[in-house]
Amino acid sequence: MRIKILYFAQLADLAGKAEEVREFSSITAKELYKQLAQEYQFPHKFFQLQVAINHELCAHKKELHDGDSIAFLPPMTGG
Amino acid sequence: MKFEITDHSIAPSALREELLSLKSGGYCSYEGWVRNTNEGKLVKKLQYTAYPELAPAIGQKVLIEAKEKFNIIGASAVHRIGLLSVGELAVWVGVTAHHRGDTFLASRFIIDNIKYRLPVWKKEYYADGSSSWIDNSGCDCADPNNLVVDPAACSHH
Repeated sequence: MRIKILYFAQLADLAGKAEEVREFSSITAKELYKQLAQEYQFPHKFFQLQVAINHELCAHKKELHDGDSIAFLPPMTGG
Repeated sequence: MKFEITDHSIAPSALREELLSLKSGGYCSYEGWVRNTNEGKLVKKLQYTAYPELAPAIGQKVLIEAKEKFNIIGASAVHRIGLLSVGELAVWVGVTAHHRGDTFLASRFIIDNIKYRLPVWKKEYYADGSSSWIDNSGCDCADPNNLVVDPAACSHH
């Protein structure tokens, strides 16, 4: 399945990109973040992040499907 | 109820005009400004970045929650993105109600929830040439589970 990964803020800086598409046979959000965190040296633990799938906040355990987009959101710092 | 993310300067007087209502006996606004220091470092400018497909929906949700929670007539909020200089307006909240009490409470509720729920992130650029994404993750107030319970529990971020 093809998953589009969106990066914001510190994660975009560390990844050096705003988005990318990757292919997996199957993967959970937690497994994906662990893989990306190792590759790009993301500093956050998975539980510190919020997860958005297809531009909606969702539970950390929600399943990914072909064509989904996913974003791992660091703690918000607006205002 | 109108929430907006903008890369243009925020004009409070025009936003206030939009909230005017003969039913309202009170109006309260909050302005968040870019200040020149943080954690002892001299700040030159800020960069705000947003999740554009999600942030407007979250902001609108916060306004609707304020309307459900307090006896208010109108509420609007705008958050700026892009590069901002010291002294510029980063966020604006306005609330109208029959009576003053609800305008104070609702504006506090809205700004607290914007700060901790809106998918917007702040990067500071310092006078010494360094820069840093602000990270509140070491503070309990940044835990989304705590925010639902008491978004006003922490006031230093």
